[in-house]
Amino acid sequence: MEIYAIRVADDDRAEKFILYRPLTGLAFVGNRAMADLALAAARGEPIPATRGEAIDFLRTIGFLDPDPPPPPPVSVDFRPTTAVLLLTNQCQLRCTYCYAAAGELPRQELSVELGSAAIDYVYETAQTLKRSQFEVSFHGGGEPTVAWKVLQACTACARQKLLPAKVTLTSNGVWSPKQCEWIVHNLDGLSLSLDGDPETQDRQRPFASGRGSSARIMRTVAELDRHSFPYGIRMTATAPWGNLPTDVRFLCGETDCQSMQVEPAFNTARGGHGRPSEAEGQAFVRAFMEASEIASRAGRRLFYSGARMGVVTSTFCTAPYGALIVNGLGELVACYEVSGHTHPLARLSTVGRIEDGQVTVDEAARARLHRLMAERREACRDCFCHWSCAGDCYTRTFRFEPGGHLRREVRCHMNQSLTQQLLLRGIAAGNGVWHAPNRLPARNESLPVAEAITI
Amino acid sequence: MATESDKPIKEEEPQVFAVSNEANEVKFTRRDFLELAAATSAALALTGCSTPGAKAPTEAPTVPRSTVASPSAKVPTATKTKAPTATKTKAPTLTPIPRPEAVVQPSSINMRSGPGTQYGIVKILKKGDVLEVLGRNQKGTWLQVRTRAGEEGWVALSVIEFNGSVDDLEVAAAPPPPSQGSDQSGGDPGAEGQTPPGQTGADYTLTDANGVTRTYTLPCGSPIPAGAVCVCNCVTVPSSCSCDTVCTCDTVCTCVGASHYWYPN
Repeated sequence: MEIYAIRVADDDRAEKFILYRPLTGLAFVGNRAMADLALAAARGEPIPATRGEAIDFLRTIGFLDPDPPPPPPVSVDFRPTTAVLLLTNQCQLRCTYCYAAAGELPRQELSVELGSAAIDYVYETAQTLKRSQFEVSFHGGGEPTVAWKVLQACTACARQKLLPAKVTLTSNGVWSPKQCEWIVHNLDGLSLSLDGDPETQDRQRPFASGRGSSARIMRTVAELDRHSFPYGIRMTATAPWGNLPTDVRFLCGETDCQSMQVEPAFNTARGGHGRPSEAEGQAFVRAFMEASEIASRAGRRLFYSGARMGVVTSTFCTAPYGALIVNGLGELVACYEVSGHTHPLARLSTVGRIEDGQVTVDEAARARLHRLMAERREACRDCFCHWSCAGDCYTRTFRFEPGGHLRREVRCHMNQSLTQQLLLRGIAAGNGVWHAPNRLPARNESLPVAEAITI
Repeated sequence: MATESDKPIKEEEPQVFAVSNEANEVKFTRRDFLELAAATSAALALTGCSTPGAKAPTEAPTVPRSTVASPSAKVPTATKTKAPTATKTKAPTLTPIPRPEAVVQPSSINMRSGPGTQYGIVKILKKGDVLEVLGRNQKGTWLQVRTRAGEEGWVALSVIEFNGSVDDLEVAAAPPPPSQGSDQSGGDPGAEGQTPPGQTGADYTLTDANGVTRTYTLPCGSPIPAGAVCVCNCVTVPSSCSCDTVCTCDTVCTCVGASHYWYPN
């Protein structure tokens, strides 16, 4: 039985603890004596008769029930039924925080031949596994719709197969009317990168000319809403995060999007991820809590990947294990963000290649990456977040020194603080006891397109 | 993080607290055990959830304390028979509807041919679509539904708003999974991914000839099939076990579980 007693501060400094059972999805607040009792009861130790009332309470709320089975370890067998195609490194925008410095590097574009080979591979795997469908997703490193002909050709390739294909796109929304028309009629889902109100969007995501992009993207949003097209919004927030609540309020008011994801970017320059400070991390926690309250009041869902309440999973992200991700060089990579050799983790993340239409998997490279990720998860086993964060995103957390993949830094503290805050909010809403309402799909399972996690 | 089992105990009586947020400051208000349990049960009844092990309430919950109790305040010693409880009839209820219905919450969800993501997609449902609920799967995690157009299929409970109690639904027969691996041929050593209530067990995964990996659960002490990867969730705890969990099922099992104090930062 897995129980954590998480200390929370109090006005009068009296110790109080969130008593948290992550696998059963239960939490409440008690004092140290209650925490002692709950932990002792969980261990099956004899309980004094004078504690009968407290034990009855624990039993009544289900706190002493056995844990459900934990999610199984993620499978390392490589049988992908999802192809993620990183179409290009070109982009119309010059986002201030772009990890890939998209649009500034020599042009690199996935060929239709490489894309088709990847689609063939996942289609055949899906057939072998007797799956009912396979998936194709166009993703990052640049704006996929810039490689428009490749995107259309790969979609056509997927649609010609005997199995149904789910085809989705991650995009900045800079589309022509014709492109928009084609997308809403030919694709199955979309993750739209949009940071918030016009001030934020124009400042963080300007065109290469320096002109703001908000007006253009909001026209795209209006079209998506007019067609009731399924999409999620992926926001990037930058320090000092002051605009985040305003941005979320704007998106709730101006879009029909039901599910929004926000990720903090700590870099102040393009082309990489900066290291956050503790103060920035804690400021993000405060901003997120305020913003998520706004979203909740508007009937929307706002989430951040590192603190997904109710999710129980053995892996932060399935991409390094189960997706065939191909960049423009024809390399198989383990993360959507590794679109080329400029990424600091490019060597670690390159796990094969496609050559002459043949997919060759570098099993040794995959095993090396998976070993490091498993080591990190194991190191996190003690943490109360480990069933929801599962070691976090490796491209955000691995450092480039011996043992650097085991370091716990600001993101860990952020994730812990947010989980703690979200638990307290859940306990307040639950009249004193938080019950995970209904388990969200674990990351080992397929998520609806609009809820796909992208970092 | 630090494990601080040697910290002095400051308060002798176990206490529980309600949480509120006032002017961005978290406040804790001490509550009686039975008040809190009753209030929780009533809240869950209104949302259609059920608490394992919870007893049926019989009276309306009392108003929680309005003052913050000092840490030394004595916990009232109400007995169970005097407990403030609630009945479903007195609690505010939604207008009765002839048949249970569910409403799609996300902008789109998949209706599938069976209760699981391994089943094919029958139809994409949109936010606001109203579904007649016909039944549930064994775990109560998927509902069998019918659209207004008469199409039948299954949706995950997590992506819909359901106005009834899942426990009140009948368990509907699920169609055979699309991939018929060796694990589906009958004679399964344990139910997939489930431990029977009140029992402990060991989960193990097996990948069949078609590459489909499934999770099974066996009672503790059962032999694990060759080639299986086992994760133990047995809960017998000898004093020597550093992680509070020991596996009695297989020597290669990985310990799962922790019970300890956590001091962030």
